[in-house]
Amino acid sequence: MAYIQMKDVSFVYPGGFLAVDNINIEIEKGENVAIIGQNGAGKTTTVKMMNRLEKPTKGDVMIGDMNTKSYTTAQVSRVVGYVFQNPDDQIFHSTVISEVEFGPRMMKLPSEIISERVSCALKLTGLEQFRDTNPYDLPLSIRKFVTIAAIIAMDTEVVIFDEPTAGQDLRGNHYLSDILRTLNQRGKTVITISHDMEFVAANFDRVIVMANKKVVTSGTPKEIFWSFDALEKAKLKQPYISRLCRELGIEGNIIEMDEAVEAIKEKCLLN
Amino acid sequence: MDTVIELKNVTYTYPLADEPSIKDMSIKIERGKFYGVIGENGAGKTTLCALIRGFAPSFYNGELKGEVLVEGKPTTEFGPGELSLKIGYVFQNPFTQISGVKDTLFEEVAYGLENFGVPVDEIEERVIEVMKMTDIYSLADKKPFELSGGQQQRAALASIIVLKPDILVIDEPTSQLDPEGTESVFKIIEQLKNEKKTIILVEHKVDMIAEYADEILVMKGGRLIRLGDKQEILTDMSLLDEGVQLPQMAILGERLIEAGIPLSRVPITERQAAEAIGQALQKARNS
Amino acid sequence: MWREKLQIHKSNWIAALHPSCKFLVVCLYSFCALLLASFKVGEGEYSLYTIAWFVIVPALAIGSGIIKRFWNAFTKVLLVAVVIIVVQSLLIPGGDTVAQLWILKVREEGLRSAIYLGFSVMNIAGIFVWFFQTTENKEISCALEDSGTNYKVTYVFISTLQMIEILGQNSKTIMNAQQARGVETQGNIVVRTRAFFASLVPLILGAITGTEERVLTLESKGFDVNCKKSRLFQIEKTGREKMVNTIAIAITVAIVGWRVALWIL
Repeated sequence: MAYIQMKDVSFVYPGGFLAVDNINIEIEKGENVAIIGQNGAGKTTTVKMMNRLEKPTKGDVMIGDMNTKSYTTAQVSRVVGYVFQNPDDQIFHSTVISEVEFGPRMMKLPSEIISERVSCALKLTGLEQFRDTNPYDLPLSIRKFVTIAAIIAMDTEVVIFDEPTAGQDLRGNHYLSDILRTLNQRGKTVITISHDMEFVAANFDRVIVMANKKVVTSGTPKEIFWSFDALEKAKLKQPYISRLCRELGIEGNIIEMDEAVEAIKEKCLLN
Repeated sequence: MDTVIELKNVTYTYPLADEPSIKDMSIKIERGKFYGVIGENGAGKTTLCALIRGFAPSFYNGELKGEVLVEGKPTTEFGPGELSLKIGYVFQNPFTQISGVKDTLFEEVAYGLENFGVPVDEIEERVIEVMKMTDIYSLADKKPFELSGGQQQRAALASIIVLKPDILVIDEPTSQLDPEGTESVFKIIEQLKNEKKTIILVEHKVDMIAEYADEILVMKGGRLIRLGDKQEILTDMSLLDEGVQLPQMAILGERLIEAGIPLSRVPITERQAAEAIGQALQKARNS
Repeated sequence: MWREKLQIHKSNWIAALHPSCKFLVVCLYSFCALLLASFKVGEGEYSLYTIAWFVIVPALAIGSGIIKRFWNAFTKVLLVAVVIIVVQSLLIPGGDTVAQLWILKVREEGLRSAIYLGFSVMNIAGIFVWFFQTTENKEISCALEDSGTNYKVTYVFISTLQMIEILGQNSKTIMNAQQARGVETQGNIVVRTRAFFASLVPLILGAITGTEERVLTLESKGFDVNCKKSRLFQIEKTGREKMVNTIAIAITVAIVGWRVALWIL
């Protein structure tokens, strides 16, 4: 049985607006999954239901053998950590360190463990130099890493990232890749919403495609980015590399730079 | 050459900062061109925008050495409100760009035009046109602050382009947008360029910059490290070491050349890449 | 036509009165309420007229066709008034005992003060509730600007009113963020109080950091441009403002006259 299960889940806002329409999602323990889709496809609402920030109007969300229905958001969030899209919705301390410490403190952990987790999280997010800085003095892109560190320090089984790549530069994206890899190595289940197709192609085992409040399909990045039907439904495009390969008529469902270089080289030599 | 904005040896330090955010920068911005500003976070891109718009130093205070000229006149000599007629400015954070006094998105987009005293019939026409262009017309009667990040971002852009300024300074307008939304924003900017507007755009999505911009400005540590033609700058692999992302096609091209495949040039867009690699494959087939 | 859609047309003529007219009613009503509260009636010297005066507020709400909305907003005022009345009547000693329930005694002076304060609050807060339930923010801002108020003052006024709504929404967002970090915001009162205080800091911080960019946004949208501003929204008059003003003033004058007469006689 899958670790995270959403069964026939719908979400309707109090005003009557349908945001998620009868979806089924299964995610195994330790999986590294990306969710892609247009603005308004229902991605954020879906992941918010995973840690009960939103309560499904219909259906069940199971984490392990815990039906989230019978728990409070605070209880679920000890298992499912969620990094908000807008960091300013999450930060409420005047220094980076106190912000990151907050989660473990709430869990009433011994102080040695707290400080170990905090320094580990700061290191992973490259924030060591900003320990005592006020988060609001940092630029938005770095502030996002503060919120990521705060969730990592809680050491939850599941970690959800909502648009971590927005506004990030080359270095920021490298850090994000490292973070994803490290968490995955620690056996965490990671779920990431992203609009950056290159980032998705390079960093995930599985991709869930959403469109119009529903799940369209899911599969490996290779499958998804060469499934034109799914991409069209979700109004998404292939990564640049794949688009080029398609145009050149190169086979092999290429999604990454290395593969493309090899394939083009081969094609040249073959001739 | 028709210079519309000029920085002369500009060094600018925010109040209480130890170090200048802009260091000895001199540039000339030509009228009617589209400039893509790239570089790692913290390189001074946003500060450059604030200087051009005159927010630095007039709002932020701080210390300005050198001169920032807009149409030949130092920004410090413009009266209150005067620069808002000339330069449209869209901020990076989509969540803070709402006037806070309007009940509907329609009125929000119309707000600037009301301030400029544009006749009401014209306001209505222009607002509808821009809202359709930015794909937010269906949200016209929604409350502005209840919109999602992506919607607010498009609303922020709409509220500025409706003012039809000659110069547009836009700071990361697509950070919250999906690929289709990003593409449509670039299409809008292209259209503005065709209307002979001068555009200065800060953007991390360098593949889009490669497609649409004319000139590239690269910044690092408060300094201008490159300025010029996009073809030349975006194929300069040494920039990767400066923390600057380069187009996927340029990196691929460079790697193919390293692998011994002769390309006529390093491509920066998909079209160029398809052409150059196609030719190379053709040549290999013929020999 | 969008501009047509933005205008406010009210079918009820009382609700549709010009804000300045309604505001005059609010001021005069409050003044009269205080004046009437100073009338001591009968042996107990209770402020009974102020209770009678209060009939006008629900009557206005019904007459304006907003009784439901009025009641929803007024229940909060009512709660405060009830607390005042209970506390005042039970705690203030002095005078004869009016009523007694077990060890709880209501004495004359307590009751006097309770009626005076409780109904003054209900009168004044009630008439303001009526005003804000029949008047939209943009009508107020428009009326202010028509009366020659500086647009900056108007901005501050309206953005403050709207800010209340935005802050309410932000505090919800922040409560969510806290829950997601293991803070219980559901449950008993202690838990909820703790959560409330934890949410204040980011709320205030967020409001402050937002301000800087908001100021610059306004500047970018020509807030400071020196010209006559145009306006999509235009306020309407019903034509009965003069009549209402006259009636309001006449009643006030009559009550003042009565009060003065009582003093002299």
